[in-house]
Amino acid sequence: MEPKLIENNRYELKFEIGGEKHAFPNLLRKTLLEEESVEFAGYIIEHPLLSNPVFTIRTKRRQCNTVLRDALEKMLARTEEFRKKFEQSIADHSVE
Amino acid sequence: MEITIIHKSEQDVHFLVEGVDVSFANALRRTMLTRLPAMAIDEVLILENTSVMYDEMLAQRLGLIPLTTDLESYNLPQDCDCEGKGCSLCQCTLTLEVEAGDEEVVVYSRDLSSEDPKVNPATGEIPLVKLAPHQHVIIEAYARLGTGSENAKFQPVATVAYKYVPVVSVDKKKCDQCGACVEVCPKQILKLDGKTISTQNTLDCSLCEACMKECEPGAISIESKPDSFLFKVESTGALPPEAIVETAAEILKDRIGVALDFANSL
Ligand SMILES: [Zn+2]
Repeated sequence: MEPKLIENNRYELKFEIGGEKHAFPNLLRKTLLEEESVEFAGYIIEHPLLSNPVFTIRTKRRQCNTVLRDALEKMLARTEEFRKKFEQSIADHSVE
Repeated sequence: MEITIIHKSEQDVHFLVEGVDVSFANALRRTMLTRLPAMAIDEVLILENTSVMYDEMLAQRLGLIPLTTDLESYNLPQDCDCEGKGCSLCQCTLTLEVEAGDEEVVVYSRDLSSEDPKVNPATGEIPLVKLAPHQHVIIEAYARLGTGSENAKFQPVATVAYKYVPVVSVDKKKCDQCGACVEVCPKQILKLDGKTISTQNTLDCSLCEACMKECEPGAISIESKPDSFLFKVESTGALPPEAIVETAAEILKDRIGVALDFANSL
């Protein structure tokens, strides 16, 4: 995971995500699209073996970087919730 | 988000996650598959091999043996202070020395002896090579941590898959109680009590839709819940299955964390 900025205007952000394939950009895309101010969110992998995903976000009203930050925080909170609940269910299951 | 453990044993765990979307389920699955480190033999020094098997093939077979992994005491070579040269913090040596007497002998993974009791073949039952009388092998093998994205031998999971939660419903008006669907279902989901078709153990349904084809059109419908996933995680023996899921969630969090640092720097 090595993000690298390509372009950053207020309402349009483009960055490359080094060392990732589809799983992470797809999760980010889905999470971003939940937000109303996101006009476009998507990524492209030019070559399946040679290139890194290049992610593009276009927003209206809210600035790109804050929208991106909110989405990532949401993802982080969900993963943490999953980990906690999974640990709890495993503990409950062993007691039974 | 709701998580229910359906089945857990030493090798595998089945669980149901409700209230997440496909992309999260997939990110988690891919993390378990390709990002989670596990031990495997990566370098082999063949001191003696008079068996009929080529050195390269024997080395390949050794590499594919799942080893029990202790993530606490080993570093990934690229993160180690030795810069990947190999030291006791990132490498573990295993030796194999077998000589056949007057009878032929099968060499098993249990014949490997490790310098670290925590790193051992997950099962001793894997045959490696068959030795004819008086043939012998003397091998030194170096195991290290690696990830599935580098080589599949480093995967700590044999299977990690999810499926949608099946919803099987029978339209009582269209069903003519012929019972053909009961016969055809390979998972025994449907049963006929008296005059009505009812369902049981629907989580086992493989969504094969054989019952729909057998039946009056529209009498049985099989749908799936959009935000619930049935996970099946089967360990190779490298790590306990629940540790695989928990560590994968941690690794996913670390990756999101790196991206968040980047977003904050903008
Ligand atoms: Zn080292």
